[in-house]
Amino acid sequence: MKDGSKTLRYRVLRTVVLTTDRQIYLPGSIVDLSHLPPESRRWFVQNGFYETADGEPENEPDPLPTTGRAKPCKNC
Amino acid sequence: MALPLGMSSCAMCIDLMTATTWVSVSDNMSVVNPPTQTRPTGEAYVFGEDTAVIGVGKRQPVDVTVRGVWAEGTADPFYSVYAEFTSPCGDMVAVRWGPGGCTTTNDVFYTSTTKSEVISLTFPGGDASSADIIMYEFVVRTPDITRATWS
Repeated sequence: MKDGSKTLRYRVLRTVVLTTDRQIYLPGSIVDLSHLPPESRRWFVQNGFYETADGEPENEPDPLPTTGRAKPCKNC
Repeated sequence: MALPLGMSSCAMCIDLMTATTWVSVSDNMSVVNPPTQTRPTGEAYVFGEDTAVIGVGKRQPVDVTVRGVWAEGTADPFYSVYAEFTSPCGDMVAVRWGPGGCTTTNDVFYTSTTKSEVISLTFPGGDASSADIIMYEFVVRTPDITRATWS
């Protein structure tokens, strides 16, 4: 998310179709389930559709937007 | 014992994929004939027994028949199917349908997203003595049908 907060990302264990974009996600994909209420996410995890992807690079928050300042150049 | 929760196809939904993204066409489609996938069998008999020796082969391709309500205008899914069907050597139209509707936790079945060929297309037509809605129909042949779940 652009505000730097942590998203609710999960690793797909069984083939799913997300209602948000209607696309198919195969096992191994990392998806954002923030559109689902907590009880739904819990149901999907308990029934073997997902596992949490905590600690994986794909689950890290998006970086904060840059300020637009150019990086200082080297050797100049 | 409780009776099973029977369902009708009232809430069924259908999507098509002609390129890389799935698009809902539930507002245009009317029928998805339940496809049947078969597995060929072989048999032989021996003198010492009264029943057959049975062998099984690999699953055969599946034909999915879809029927839609035809409308004028290139936005109608008929024209997407027509374009794929008439492209040289054919092109892909994958079909996906959710018998219970496209809502969370419902099952959905889809044809291969790499090999789903339109092998027949029935063009819209009509009869002057009929008030029936003008329909069209196409058949997609695919190696297999996969199950997924709406989430």
